[in-house]
Amino acid sequence: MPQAILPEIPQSITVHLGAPDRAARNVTVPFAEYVKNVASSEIYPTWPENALIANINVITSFALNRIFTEYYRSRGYDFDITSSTAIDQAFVEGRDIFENISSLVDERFNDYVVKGDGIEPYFTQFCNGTTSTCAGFSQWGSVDLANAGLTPLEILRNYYGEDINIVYDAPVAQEGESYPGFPLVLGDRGNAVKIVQTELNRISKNYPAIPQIVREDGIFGLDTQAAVRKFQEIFSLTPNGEVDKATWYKIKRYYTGVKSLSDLFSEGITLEETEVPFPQRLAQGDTGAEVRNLQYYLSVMAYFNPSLPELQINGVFDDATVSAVRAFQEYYGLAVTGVVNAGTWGTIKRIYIESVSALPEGYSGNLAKIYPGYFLTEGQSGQNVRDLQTYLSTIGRFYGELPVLPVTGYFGSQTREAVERFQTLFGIEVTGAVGPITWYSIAREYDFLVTTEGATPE
Amino acid sequence: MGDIMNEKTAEEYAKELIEMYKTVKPPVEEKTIPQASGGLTVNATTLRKLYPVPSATVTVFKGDYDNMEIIDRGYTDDSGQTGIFYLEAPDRALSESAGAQQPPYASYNISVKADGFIEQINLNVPIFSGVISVQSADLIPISAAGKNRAPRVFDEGQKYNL
Repeated sequence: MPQAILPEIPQSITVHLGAPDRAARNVTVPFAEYVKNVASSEIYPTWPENALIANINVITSFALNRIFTEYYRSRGYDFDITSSTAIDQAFVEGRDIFENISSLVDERFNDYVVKGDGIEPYFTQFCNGTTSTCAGFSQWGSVDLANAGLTPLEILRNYYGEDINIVYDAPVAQEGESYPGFPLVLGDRGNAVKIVQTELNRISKNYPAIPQIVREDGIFGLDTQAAVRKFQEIFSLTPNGEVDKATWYKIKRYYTGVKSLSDLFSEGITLEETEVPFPQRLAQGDTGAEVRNLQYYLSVMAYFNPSLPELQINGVFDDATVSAVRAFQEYYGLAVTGVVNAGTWGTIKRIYIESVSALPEGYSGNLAKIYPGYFLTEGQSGQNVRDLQTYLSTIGRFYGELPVLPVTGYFGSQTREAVERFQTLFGIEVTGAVGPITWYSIAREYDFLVTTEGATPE
Repeated sequence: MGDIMNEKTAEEYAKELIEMYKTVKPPVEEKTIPQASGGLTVNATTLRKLYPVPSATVTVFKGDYDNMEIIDRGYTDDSGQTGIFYLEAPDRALSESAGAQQPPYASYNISVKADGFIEQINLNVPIFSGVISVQSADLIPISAAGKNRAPRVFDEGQKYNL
């Protein structure tokens, strides 16, 4: 039972794609996306708006109740809710979302129903009202009530009792700042504006149609408004150029996603440096650096291949790690054992390197690509060497002490000297070869110069 | 040296113009939808939606993939988005009260295909009259797909429990 702290809306929810005891995949999706999917699967988007809103409140509260009472987890299951319409609510993986429903959910994904003095999300039981009737909410009934002029709250009270209330704007569990509580508009000044500017500029590296905001100065000027509007157009929000709650949280979500991937790659670099030889076999219960390495590779692969589950890098070969290993083995045609032997390990590393080095041109925006997965040394040639030389020569043009390096694609003595010079200047062990630590330092310096100092590769 | 650089730039510029015309998108300003039709727009992304996939080919079709009846086709822009496809859908009244004798929506199939990525196919996408559907396609890069080169298929053909 939660204590007297106001429940937070979770970042994501794990859905079992079938009845609880049926063998089926689990998928983890961002919470608002889950609500949009369920609302698009349970009801018709042509219904009157007040009925849609009441239904969205029901769907949201139902899911939050499952999460906060730990209904499935406390029974030993590794998911929060199922997609079974008999006991939970419909969820169809990969389905289309109706635009009007999407907007309505964006405005109220952190509102939920409470009953009496309770602060916990209410278990908003429902049925369709035609082929099944129940003591709770009737979906078709809500349409009639909405057509009769009732508000969403009145509709909910009609089915759940007069002592029903809605908690509006519950806190959202996430990194970073919450919505300031009022929309940010043209002319506003302050830290919240600066946060939006920084986040939009980072997102615009991936989505170049969003214009860059020249100065992240905390002043909401015309270029900030233009960037906000373009973001709204791309991400299906009302393009009014104002940062309301829905816009604030969507910007946050994308920025956090982009940042998580960067952080993940950085973490991986640090792990790589502790290149421990693979211990022949890793299985449930194992702990340590080798497990962290494994989890890192699987986490990166989950980005490239969204059908693989994400997992925490915690150094413990837990249930989530077993699921991730099994999912990897199944997808890539290995024996599905949940145990990592040399064959599985080799495949993981190979697919990782293939994925990372073949990332299409422009998929890091202006920023440096991630570590290619192997040491770059004198005598090698190829695209990774070209990239290295591009970054070093960009850095060289800024710092007088570094030679400007011609980009030839061949790692000769000039390149080695440039690497040694960089390593000396930046306090890294001078080897003349580029392993993960050196690559990361070069990439970080390059990114900084490009994003902050306006450097360009050519 | 300067002249050669200018020639290259002109070539590249011409390429860019051609690309731009390929991805022309109808204006999205007015959201009024023609009678008896619903709208569909498709977003192509990759790496769990962190990056858009421009110049993806989006095909709306009916029937089997191998023998498809093409209803419409478009391309994604720099943000990975198509314009709006307008597709025939049944009368809105069918979904506004219970007891309809037939599904109150039309079903279409969508293929999203882009160089360097595994194709995604969504079957039985419901389209309601007067409503815009947004279909996301988070594509897997070929380099990450191992031997799984076949299209990734999602079947949305669930019946509404209404």
